[in-house]
Amino acid sequence: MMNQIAPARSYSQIVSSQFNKNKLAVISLHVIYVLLFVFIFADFLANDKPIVMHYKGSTYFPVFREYGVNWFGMNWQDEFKSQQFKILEDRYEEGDWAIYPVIPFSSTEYNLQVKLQPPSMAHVFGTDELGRDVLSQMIHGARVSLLVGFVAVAIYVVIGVFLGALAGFYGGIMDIIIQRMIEIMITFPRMFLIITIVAVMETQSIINIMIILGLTGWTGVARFTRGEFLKVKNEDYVIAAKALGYRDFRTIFRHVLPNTLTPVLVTATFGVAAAILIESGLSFLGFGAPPEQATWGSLLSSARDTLPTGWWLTTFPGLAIFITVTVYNLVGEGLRDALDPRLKQ
Amino acid sequence: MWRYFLKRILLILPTLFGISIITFIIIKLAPGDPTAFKMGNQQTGMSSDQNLAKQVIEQTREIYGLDKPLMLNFTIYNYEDNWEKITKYLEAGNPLSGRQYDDVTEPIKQADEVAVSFLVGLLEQNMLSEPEIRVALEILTVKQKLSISAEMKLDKQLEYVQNWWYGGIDSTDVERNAAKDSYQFSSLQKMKMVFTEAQYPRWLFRMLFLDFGNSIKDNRPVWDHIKESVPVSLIFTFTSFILAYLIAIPLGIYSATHQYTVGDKITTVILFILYSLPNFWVATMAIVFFGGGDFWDVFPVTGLHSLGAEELSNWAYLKDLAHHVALPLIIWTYGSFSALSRYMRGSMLEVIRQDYIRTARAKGLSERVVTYKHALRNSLIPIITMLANLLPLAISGSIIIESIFSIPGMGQLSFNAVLFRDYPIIMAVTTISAMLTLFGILFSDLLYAIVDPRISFEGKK
Amino acid sequence: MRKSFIIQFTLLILLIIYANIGDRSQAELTEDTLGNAGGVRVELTGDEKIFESSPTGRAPEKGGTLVMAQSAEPENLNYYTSTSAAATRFLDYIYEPLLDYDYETWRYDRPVVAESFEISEDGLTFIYKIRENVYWHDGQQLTAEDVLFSIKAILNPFVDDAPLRTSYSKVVNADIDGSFVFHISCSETYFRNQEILGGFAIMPKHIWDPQGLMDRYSVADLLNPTVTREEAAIKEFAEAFNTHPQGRPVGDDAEPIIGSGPWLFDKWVTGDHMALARNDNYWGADSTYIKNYSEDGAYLDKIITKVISDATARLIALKAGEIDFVPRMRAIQYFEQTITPDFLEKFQKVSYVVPAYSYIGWNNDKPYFSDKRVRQAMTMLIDREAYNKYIAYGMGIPTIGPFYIFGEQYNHELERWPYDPQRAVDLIEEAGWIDHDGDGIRDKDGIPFNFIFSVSAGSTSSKYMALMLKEDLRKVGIIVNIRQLEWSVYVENLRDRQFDVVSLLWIGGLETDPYQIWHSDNIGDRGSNYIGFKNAEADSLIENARFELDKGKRNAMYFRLQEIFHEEQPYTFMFFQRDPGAYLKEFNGVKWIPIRPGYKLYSWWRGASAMGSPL
Repeated sequence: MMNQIAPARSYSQIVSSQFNKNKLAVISLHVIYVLLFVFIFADFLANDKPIVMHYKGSTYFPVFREYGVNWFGMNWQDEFKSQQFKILEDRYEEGDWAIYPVIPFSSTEYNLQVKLQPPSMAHVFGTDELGRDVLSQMIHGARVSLLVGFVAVAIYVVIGVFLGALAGFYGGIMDIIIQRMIEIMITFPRMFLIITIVAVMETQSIINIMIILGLTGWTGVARFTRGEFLKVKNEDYVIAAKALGYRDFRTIFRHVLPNTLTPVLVTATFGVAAAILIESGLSFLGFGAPPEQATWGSLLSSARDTLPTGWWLTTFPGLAIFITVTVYNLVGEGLRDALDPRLKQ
Repeated sequence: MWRYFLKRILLILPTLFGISIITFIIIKLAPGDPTAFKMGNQQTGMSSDQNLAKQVIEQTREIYGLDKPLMLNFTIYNYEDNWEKITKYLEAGNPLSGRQYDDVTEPIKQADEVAVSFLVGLLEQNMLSEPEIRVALEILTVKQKLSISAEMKLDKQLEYVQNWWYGGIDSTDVERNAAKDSYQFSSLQKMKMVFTEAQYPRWLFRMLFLDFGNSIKDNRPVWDHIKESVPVSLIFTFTSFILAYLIAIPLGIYSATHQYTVGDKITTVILFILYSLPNFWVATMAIVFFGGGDFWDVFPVTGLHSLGAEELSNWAYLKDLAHHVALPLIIWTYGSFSALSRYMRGSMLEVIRQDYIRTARAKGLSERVVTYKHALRNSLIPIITMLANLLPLAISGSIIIESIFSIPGMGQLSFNAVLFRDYPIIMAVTTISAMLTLFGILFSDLLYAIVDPRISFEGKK
Repeated sequence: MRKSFIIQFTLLILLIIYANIGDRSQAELTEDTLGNAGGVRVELTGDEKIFESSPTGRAPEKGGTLVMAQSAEPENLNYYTSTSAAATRFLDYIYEPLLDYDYETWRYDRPVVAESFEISEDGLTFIYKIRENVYWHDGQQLTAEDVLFSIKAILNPFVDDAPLRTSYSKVVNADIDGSFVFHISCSETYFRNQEILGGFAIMPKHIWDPQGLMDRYSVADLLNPTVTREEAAIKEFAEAFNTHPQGRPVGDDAEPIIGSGPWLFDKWVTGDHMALARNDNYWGADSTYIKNYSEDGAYLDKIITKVISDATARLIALKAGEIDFVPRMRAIQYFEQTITPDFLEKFQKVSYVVPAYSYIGWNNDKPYFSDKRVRQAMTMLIDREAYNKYIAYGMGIPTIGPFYIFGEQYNHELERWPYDPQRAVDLIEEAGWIDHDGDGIRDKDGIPFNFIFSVSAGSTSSKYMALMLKEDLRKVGIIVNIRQLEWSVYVENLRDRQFDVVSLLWIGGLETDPYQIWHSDNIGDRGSNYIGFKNAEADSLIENARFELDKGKRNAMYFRLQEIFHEEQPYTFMFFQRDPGAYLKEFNGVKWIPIRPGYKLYSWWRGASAMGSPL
């Protein structure tokens, strides 16, 4: 991950060896890998559709087919129009079989008969008030929660770096205007602003949350980048680039930016953690994802009512948030220590 | 330097102005308006025998001035064009209700009383189609509060308007004055209306006298609400700030002086764990486990005082308050340790590596003296300047914790204001908090310049 | 990273293999797990309209305090301008109307402030004789002047009470005749006139209008727009009225609200609690106050309403002894979190009925729901039984129409639509919704059957309903999108009819008039017929019934109306609500009634053995 950002290979080796010294950060990084894995393969981990099935003489791949239906305008085969694969089991003929994902429940599939069941072999993390499988919801919720973190942070890093770079590099009027923008932005109470904007949006969608978090979160990065630029501006290589007659654009992006980007990466790592927490808070207030989309925050907030009897409903999503946020922070901390040349012993 | 700060102070004004306009537009663009809460709420449902007609809503909106345009009211001059738009809309066979209809009729309703004589004139000329008559009558009825009911026949309605406009004997056999005399306006009056009959100028004008108006929800002055809620939130923000500093700073120093030891790592992990626990989750757990449900009865879970606390002696009153505050305060505070102590650690590490600290060490001073006398003083500088953040915190509160623990603080006030679309309160809270933040930033820069003589604001050229 | 992924992938494969050969049987819920949970169910069938849940036979004693919890604070305490249920509930103990329900016959004819009343022969004028022994809390006598002032305040067009004022839109005049006679006339003989004209709370004129600003104007003046526009005093009064300190008596030094009822206003601490104290000089204590219910006025010394916004915190506060009575808890709390013997020994749980029903409203103007067959099919696709049993814990009372199930208007002859997905699918196909293009979604005339179910944020029950419907309809080729909206936006969309499907609650009374909600007049901007129900026969039934003063004939029309509703299914009628509550067993005289909010604290008293929580 590091070598894309660090300017020279030798530097990246130093950094990664520094990072590897930090056992906690390394463990955390592996936890993030697991999360990424869940993120990518959620549909294969928890789904009410079989991965492979043999039915009436032909073999089908319903999970893959679902991607086709959702993304490429394909249609379901006639036998599977209702997408109720479990009911088909009754119609199995000799030789028919199906291989289901690890958790054979989708995140929306409900079964009132098994509502509020404590963890068992069938439902590893129990079921909720509608009899939906909690683990399945958490796996699909991981997608949303992580995506919120990534996208929101990506948006605000881009905005922040851009505005910060402009302000720092040019100074003068540009600096004054951007500084006022930053002031206006931090002057609004952030939660308040987010709630107001969410209310303005006609439709409720997780994408809105990402964008809003992105649009409101950039001030820190901008101030930081601006500071870095002010520092770097007068260094020899920048002056040299100017002397060589490079255009400003090129100077900013080719020469100055890479040097300021590494600390921004650290901020971004912390930012992902913060965004996940903010999303959970928004869900608590009812401003989060739409109801059919499980997120860790919404799972947690709708499970509050069931305490203390339905302990499993709050414990597992709560742990998921807490572990994720912690590992992101630890990785960020590890990165910061590894990247900071001054902190090196 | 002082010139620099003077310039900064002067820049605050346009920033504030910008913020107020942006806020105003954002909250007004938000769908929904305060009158929705005249119609019940989602928990209790809506009352089936209340007439929730548009007329009801419009009358309520009018009482609070919400029927006026946002920025400047130019509808006073172009109501004729606006009527034309309505005609076109009707000619296309569009319905006499719905959102589109509202959009097209709104401008002429905003022209307030100026358009009345024009509309009556149109009705008299007998040139209008039936839907046009209906629309004209509706506009008149709603804005001039005519007691025309929708069930009346059209010619009856017209007759009523005739009577009302020219005076005459009404249904109760009383001679009435003609209404038309009070609908004549001079051009000066009209010019004034452009400003006085619009929402933002009205608000701004009142603001100049620091009058935030009355809350739409209960008609109380916004100031009263703020005066009530700020002290409540201050108990939390202030104590939590002190608590956070008292705990996080020593932890940060410890981490810095014991960098990479087991102790450092353990504090790091513990602080991150605290930061990572969503506060509403912890708050719910705390209520369930420490509130005396089926588990330990350690803390009360609602409000700030026991019932009848005002009759207690001062000491007992404080004890009661502390008992109520403890649990929410802990939850309010625990998440902020991490950032603060990380910040302290970083700043301390930076100072420790400075030359003068090395010199101090080389001089043979003990590690204790070096750390606490020399390093600490300088590494505290950035932390102290963060104190300026206290200013806006006074008015922010915490939505989540306040609503879980039923604490009537600023968080609940502003959150409910957003839900209710209580515009005066939203505007007041954002304006005040903007003001405090701007002064906070300024103050922190000033503080920084005073404590750290190396910083200069003059050298920028 | 690559290594990590390979390991995880292998693990996944192993897990899949394990999961597919392992045992997947699951334990299912049995009948025993859902039961009564140790509470009492209030049933109001037959003539029995009052249900007592506490032991009977002991003579009531005065004294004691009741602390109850409420989720929200009223916005203000001005009876006319406030619209929240919390305000009405509180102020009903302070202010009194001319007439109220008789707790035996459940007709609206029990004289309260009025001693007696008569109706003119044409049925248009109501004449009330006011009692001569009614006194305000400050000792002044209540006279017909106060009654006249009250109606003037309601009718003043600048007073912020527009929702209330529309009920009085048929009033043409009102006046007094001496100090103790008040008469009021309307333009129509409407069957609910008795309830509306006698039902407004009377406010003291000497407090709200000390300068007598309204004296100069007659009721007819207030109904005349020329007068109200020209006379500045009318507006001046209204502004003073809207912001009168009596409407928001906050803080220790606030003047108490002056009413005439059995309780005195004591205190309102914003965001914390509101308190009432018994009025020991109550005029009604000399006579039988409410026959069959609370004979001497009131027993409790103090009623404190604590504001606890969080449901979990409310229950914990009850368990911890901070409060004595939670009128509304969540079903899951009632059935799962309050079933320990300790709790049941200390508290009495009650599930009582309120005249409010939940429904799913189909926008009849949308192409999907314009055909009644589709609406019938929708009703048959919703497994209301299962929903009631598992989500509502059996707390719903199934209904077939909009009239109160314990009232006289309800048609018990009709049978509910069954849950029958197969028949539903047949009906949908009959209506032309078939998957023509093979994409798995039904369509007709090129429109896919893909609609939005609007849910108001914070309403868990309709959220669950929507989630279930989404899953169920997907199986039959219909796509449901759920949109969660804040209340203010939700209502705006409702008013503008910008929705496909909504799920809401209507609050009614013992007797309701379907005009507002069901008449086609009220489709546009004029009323609450948001879903656009239009039926000629229904219209004429509704119109005729309004002015039919004979109850038997009127109800016959309403029975027929319900048949139409049943056939047309403009709504899918869900359930009348049962509110689960719990109170400390020390309380006696706990009686439940069929009108909002389901209980009146007049009759409650606290046993002498255990005095109230120390104050």
